Amino acid sequence: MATFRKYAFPNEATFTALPVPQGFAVPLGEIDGAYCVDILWDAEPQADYLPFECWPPPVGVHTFLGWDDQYGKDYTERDDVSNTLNED
Amino acid sequence: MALGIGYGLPFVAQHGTNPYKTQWAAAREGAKGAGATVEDENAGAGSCLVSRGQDVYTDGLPSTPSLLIVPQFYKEGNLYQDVPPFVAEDSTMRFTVSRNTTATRVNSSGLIESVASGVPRIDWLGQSCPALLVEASGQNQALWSRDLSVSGTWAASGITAVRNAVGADGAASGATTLTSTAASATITQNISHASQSRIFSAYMRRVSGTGQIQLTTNGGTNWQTVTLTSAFAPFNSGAQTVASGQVGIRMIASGDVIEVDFTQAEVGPVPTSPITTTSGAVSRAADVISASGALVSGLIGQTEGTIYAEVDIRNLTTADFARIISIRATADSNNFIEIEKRSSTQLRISARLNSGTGITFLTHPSAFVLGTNKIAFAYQDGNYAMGFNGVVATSAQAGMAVGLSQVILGAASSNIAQLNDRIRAAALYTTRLSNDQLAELTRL
Repeated sequence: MATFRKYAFPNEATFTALPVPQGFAVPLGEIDGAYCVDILWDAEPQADYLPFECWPPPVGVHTFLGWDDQYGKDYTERDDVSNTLNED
Repeated sequence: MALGIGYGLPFVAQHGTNPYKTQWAAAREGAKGAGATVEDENAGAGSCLVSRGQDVYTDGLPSTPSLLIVPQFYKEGNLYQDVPPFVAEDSTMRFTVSRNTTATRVNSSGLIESVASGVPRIDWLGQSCPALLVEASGQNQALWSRDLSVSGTWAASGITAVRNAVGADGAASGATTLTSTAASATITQNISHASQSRIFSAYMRRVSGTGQIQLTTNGGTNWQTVTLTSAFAPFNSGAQTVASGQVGIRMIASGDVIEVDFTQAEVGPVPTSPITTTSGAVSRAADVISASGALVSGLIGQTEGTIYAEVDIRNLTTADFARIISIRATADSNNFIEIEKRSSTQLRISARLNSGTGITFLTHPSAFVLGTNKIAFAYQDGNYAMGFNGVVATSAQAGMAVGLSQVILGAASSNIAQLNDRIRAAALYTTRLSNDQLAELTRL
């Protein structure tokens, strides 16, 4: 199952130093001082990328065709988990 | 029509005397049993797709294809061939289809519709008989692609834009009506990107007036005049190499009214199928359609054979370089044969014949034409020939690719060089067809 995630790297070199992503990567360039890339992973995201995940409100400046709803659900789910943890 | 043998019997039996239709009927039943959709199903054996398959089959006689596909049976993740018919999952080959995004096609009603992820696109754009659309990944950078009334994104000068027209997908208020209130009125959008070949496209139709309608992808340095009719059709600006540019539409005469839908600003050189945007850019993944494994290698001639492809070329550009069909040894880059549309629009065979050094290129003297093109490549060590729209060219090139076990439609391996156009049919033969057969098979 493919997965859509957004990433913000300190710079482009940080992104290119990581293993080539197994999926469809769309570099978005520099946004708010970070080098941003959207990746539609063929399956689960590679763990190396996890520290750079970012969650702009749906759907940010770019999306993949047909993935808006799923990104929105993932965003909300993540937000719910975050709120639950804060309550604890 | 006289009542022939088998009248009143089940469909397969009715075509017992017609080898192609017998296999087509079995393929249809097999694919439906696997949950596939049948394109143009209501036409039954009278479908134009059946006629196309029959023509390919007949033109190759007395040789018969080991594999023949006129794309029409499909489901998410799979595309099924006509010959050999799909019977069971573990005993019949089939093409796998991957594309992790939705995409669009023109359906049999002439309307743009969304196609789910992994579903191949049987496209009817401008045709009475559809074909398989295979595209590279694409990205639409034109925001609010269907709603040109969004100010701050679209800048209108002498144009009133209202999103109130029936769209090219049939949706109420899907498209934007543009009314020019001055001569040489424009509506434009700034696009930020690196310097590269870019193209702007839109579906448009004329409501009233006769003035010229023009498109630009480079801020008006070049305006491409297009001829609208009363029906929605795709138009484009032509590709231009441009740094951060401005796309737009110009209406030369005041008082004209047109409807615009599915505007698209993307990397050139050709316009691809519509990608709807709102407030952000949107990307579509590439189509990847291939079959591999032991069942496939058995259908490919290993010491001699013939590859046939029939394509519908809508985007004839010298800046394009695309694969039509690729036959390869899986995971072995030293053995492959690929039929290509070169950047010069010539037909070229690119092959690595069991050699780690160099690629053999065989170029046909003829060029592709807009519309249907028929290609056949017959191979045997030292005895190669290309049939292209009825004209045969030969080569005594030595060598032969070995271990061929993968067929890729409309792309090379590694998911590159997509055709960005439509495949009408493809076939393999396990024998090298004669040059006369190649001429007959490819005659338009």
